[in-house]
Amino acid sequence: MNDLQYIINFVNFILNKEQTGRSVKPEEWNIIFPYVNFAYFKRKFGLTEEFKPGMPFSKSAWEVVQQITDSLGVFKVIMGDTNSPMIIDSDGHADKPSDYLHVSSIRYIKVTNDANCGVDTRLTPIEILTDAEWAHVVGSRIRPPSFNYPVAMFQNTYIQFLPKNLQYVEFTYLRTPVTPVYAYTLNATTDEVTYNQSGSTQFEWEENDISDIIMMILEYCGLNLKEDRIVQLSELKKQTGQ
Amino acid sequence: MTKGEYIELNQRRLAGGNVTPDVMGKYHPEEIARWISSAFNQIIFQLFKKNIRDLDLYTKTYKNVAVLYDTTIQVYYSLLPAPIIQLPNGKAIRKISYMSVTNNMPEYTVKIVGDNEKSTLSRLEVGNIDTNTWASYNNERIEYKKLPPDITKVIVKQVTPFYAYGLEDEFFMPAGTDIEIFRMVREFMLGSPPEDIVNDNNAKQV
Repeated sequence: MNDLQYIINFVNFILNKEQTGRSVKPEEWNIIFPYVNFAYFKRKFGLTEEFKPGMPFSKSAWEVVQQITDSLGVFKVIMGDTNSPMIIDSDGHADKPSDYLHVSSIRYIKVTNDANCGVDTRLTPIEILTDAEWAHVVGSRIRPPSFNYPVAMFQNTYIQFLPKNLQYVEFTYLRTPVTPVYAYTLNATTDEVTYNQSGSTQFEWEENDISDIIMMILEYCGLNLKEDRIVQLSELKKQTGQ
Repeated sequence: MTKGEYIELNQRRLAGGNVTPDVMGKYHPEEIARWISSAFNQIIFQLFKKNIRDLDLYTKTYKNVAVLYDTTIQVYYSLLPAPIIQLPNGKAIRKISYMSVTNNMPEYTVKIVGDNEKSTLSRLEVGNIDTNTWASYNNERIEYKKLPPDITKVIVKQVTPFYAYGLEDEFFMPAGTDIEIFRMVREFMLGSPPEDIVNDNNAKQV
């Protein structure tokens, strides 16, 4: 199911459109796919539009249930563990990865010598602070930043850590999804579209998610083709998930 | 249980399970440690009133506490190795003894007296007869009288507040009071107003 041509075929089947009829043009798929890719990601991660005053919760949120962890897991990147950790400079700054989208967690590995001259290694969670909290926490007499309780704050292009000399941390984040690309060749004489599977970039989502993505695509196709029934159908499927 | 375990137990109870970095701002371990300290101080004070000898069960031993010399007032002194619980009648420090003890010599225990008593006794006949070392203390340091010059380190056993323990130090609470302490900590921490999570220069929290 996770093949762009299959998705297009299914969508056309629902739209009941022929390839050369009043349907979505091949180049328009490359407008729809990237948008739906991000829109679906946003929906899975959690819609801030669903927040209510005093209750910043959405219907769906990262890792609130295993199913969402499974869906978005393909975009999870761990800096640390068996990969290179996030390096922090002497000013306590660490550059955000170029494909960074959302943070999942940040951890500091605290290494100390124990009483038996061995090494005690402990993972310490790093608290992420807002701008408003930064001054209070940094100047706190009860809970100032320390190697036991390090803190971080996100800036435009980098992350500020305290204590400054943490040197490196484990950083888990969700990366930007790869843009799906429908590659094809167009016969100039017959206008026949030939799918180029090897040259295409597929959706990265699991098979389980493709049906939901198809419904989102149908919604936008229905709007484009002014097919109200299609829009209503996709809305219904979105509500019920079936 | 260690201090770290007590804190984590309270954190898990307050957070309703696993503690994520998101709730550190609301239930920070250092803050919980301070509240446990306050609750424990209440329990220790009640214990002090009932049976002072039982305080020995809740002392922490600090070895190799250095003896220094204050040239300004010509007094030998030691800095307190850790904060003390403010108990009446100076009962927070349970024992001070010399660090160096050989097989032929009994353990030398320093007599803990009040500051004024130390001054008065030193001018009386007993000051010439008594060969013991006297000591008085305040919140910062222990000051000695008649300390042998070869004593450079002492052992101090004192009642230390919870927050001054290390995370891996074993901490002992009077039997039957740990639940009471947890209840007090929850009352302290859950009675606060909601956090202001919106960065809008507006003090309203709801």
